[in-house]
Amino acid sequence: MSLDTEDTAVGTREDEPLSIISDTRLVPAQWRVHLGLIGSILLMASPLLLAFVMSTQTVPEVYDITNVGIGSDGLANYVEVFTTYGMASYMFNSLVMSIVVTVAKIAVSLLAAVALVFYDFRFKNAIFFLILFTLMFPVPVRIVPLYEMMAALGWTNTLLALTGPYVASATAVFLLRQHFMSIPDSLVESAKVDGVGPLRFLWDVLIPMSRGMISGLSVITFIYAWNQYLWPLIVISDQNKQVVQVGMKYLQSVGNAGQTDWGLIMAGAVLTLLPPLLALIVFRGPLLETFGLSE
Amino acid sequence: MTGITTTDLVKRFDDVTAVDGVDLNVREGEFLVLVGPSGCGKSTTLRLLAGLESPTEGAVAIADEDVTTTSPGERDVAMVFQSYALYPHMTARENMTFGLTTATQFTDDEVNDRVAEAAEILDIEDLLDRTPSALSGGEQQRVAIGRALVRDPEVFLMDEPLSNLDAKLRVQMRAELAELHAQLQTTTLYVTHDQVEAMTLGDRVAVMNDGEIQQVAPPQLLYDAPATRFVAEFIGSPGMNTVEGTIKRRGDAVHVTWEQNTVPLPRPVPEAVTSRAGESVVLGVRPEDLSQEKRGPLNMEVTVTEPLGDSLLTRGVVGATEMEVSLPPRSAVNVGDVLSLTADPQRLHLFDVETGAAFYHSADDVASEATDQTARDAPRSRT
Repeated sequence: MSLDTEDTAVGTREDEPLSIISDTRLVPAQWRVHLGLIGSILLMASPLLLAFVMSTQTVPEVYDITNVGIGSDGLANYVEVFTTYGMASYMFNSLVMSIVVTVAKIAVSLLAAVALVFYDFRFKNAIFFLILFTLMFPVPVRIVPLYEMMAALGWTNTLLALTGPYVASATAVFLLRQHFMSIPDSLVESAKVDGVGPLRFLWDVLIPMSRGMISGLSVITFIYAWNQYLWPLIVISDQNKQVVQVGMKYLQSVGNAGQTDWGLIMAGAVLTLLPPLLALIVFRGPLLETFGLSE
Repeated sequence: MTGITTTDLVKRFDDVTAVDGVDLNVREGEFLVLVGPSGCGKSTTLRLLAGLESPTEGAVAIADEDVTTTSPGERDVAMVFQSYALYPHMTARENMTFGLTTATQFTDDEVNDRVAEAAEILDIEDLLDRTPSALSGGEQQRVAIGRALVRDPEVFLMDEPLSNLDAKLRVQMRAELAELHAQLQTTTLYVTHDQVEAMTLGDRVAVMNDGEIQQVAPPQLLYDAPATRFVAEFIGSPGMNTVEGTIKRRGDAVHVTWEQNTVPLPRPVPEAVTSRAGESVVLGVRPEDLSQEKRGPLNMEVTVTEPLGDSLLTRGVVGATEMEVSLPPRSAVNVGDVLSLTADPQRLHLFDVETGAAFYHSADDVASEATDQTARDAPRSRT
């Protein structure tokens, strides 16, 4: 009796690899599902694909709705946004802004998280909830008082004004705090007994142990900063100091006989997309780890 | 002198008193084991010594220097944790030297020499460039001990360092720790809940319960002359049988009786016992000091038999009290049998019912040795 049940169990186990093999045939068994998936991916990617197609077209080609092939302009639009319209300098400004915001935000959040996890002080939880509370006030909500503050400080039109409001981040503090809380107490205590100071512990233990989390956070922060539009538009009035998202808006005013040169704009848009895309591809591993999605 | 002294140490967490007036004196070069059940405050005591907790009251001195308010890093102690506490991203060597390299007291060469020396002692020379994840539990524990060694501290503090190892490895590491201490003679305070570890490792053993030290004594003395009922029941595997009875005096003879059972005390019976005639006391007798005898004074109905190989541990009830007796192996004993037992008159203990304090050990020579031990408190010199 018991032997029989064992046999059946072995039988099912042997069946499993077979079904896996049938899944990897050239034409998948569930081809309808795959067709649906391909369709939905195309749908989601269509704005990007269209932008790329339009970026290679001349103005008349863009306005010809039925023309969805690669245009006759080739890469001329790309060359033009770079040489004539200062795209390189916008992108450089954006890069500087994004890097400064990323580095400063990670540094501040690390210190805040260390304080919240490894130190005991009064009203610790209250302070943590106050930090979380700021999630309810994103930069756009604070734009008027922030601008007044920048004007009072005389920071308008500077990198300080561009990056300052983004440096403190409740999300980053929260994620790092949760991560630090998973570090065993004995590691901290061992460092204390060995006389390792808090900054050295942060640098030599916490940061190496949180490498994945920090890189993931950096990617998110970098992309977030890169994509900022409203605040730079308000606080930076000097076109030379402007970032790429606002720079795109300047391209809109370029064009002959009242016709917007969409080819030029789309070339700018595709270029603008590339740095975040690159960051995503390079750091996809730690990014998944940050959100607990890695296998 | 590099001993540890605590004076009336108290630690309260909100309304829980974890450590309640501990006076402990670890002598220079001594291996003192602090043993007790879970939650008795032994780990908290160790953490107070390390400086990881600050005492509510009392003082801690290491090497005759008051360190009650000194930060852990400045106490010159090294701690070995139950979970090893190795940094996962560092190699064994980096783990051992981390924290040393910043301290200006050592040059790089000195650090290298120390690591090489510690690695040789612990036989981990081949493992120095591996990260903890590539090491087995026993190897990780060696690295953790190595980390303590290279610091050459005044005092080693060990918090259940063998608890995470499997039984066989634990026995092996236990022997190695004893050997290591014989070699280095560093003052060591070792915390464990395992009384076998405590007995085998300790020069002296401190038994702790409910935040209080019950007794500090060499292992054999702890076993032979427990100071309290708790120590008697805790030390030994299994612990001492204890039963509440009454002291009865008939002329010269003194007995302890409960229900239909009677245990005579050997003559001469000291004044401390005779003066309590008629009072309730707790009688203690170890399982191996009970033996089968025809028409013995105790009748035990067997409920469980546990063959241990070298002996047959038999559990049963004497009157209404559960007791254990260690019988010779292969004894013909079955569940439900009624055994007739006698207790070794030289191995009886009496405890006060209220306080649990021992006031009589029938082995006179043992008792006198106990008095000697308490009187002799001279520090042992380093060899």
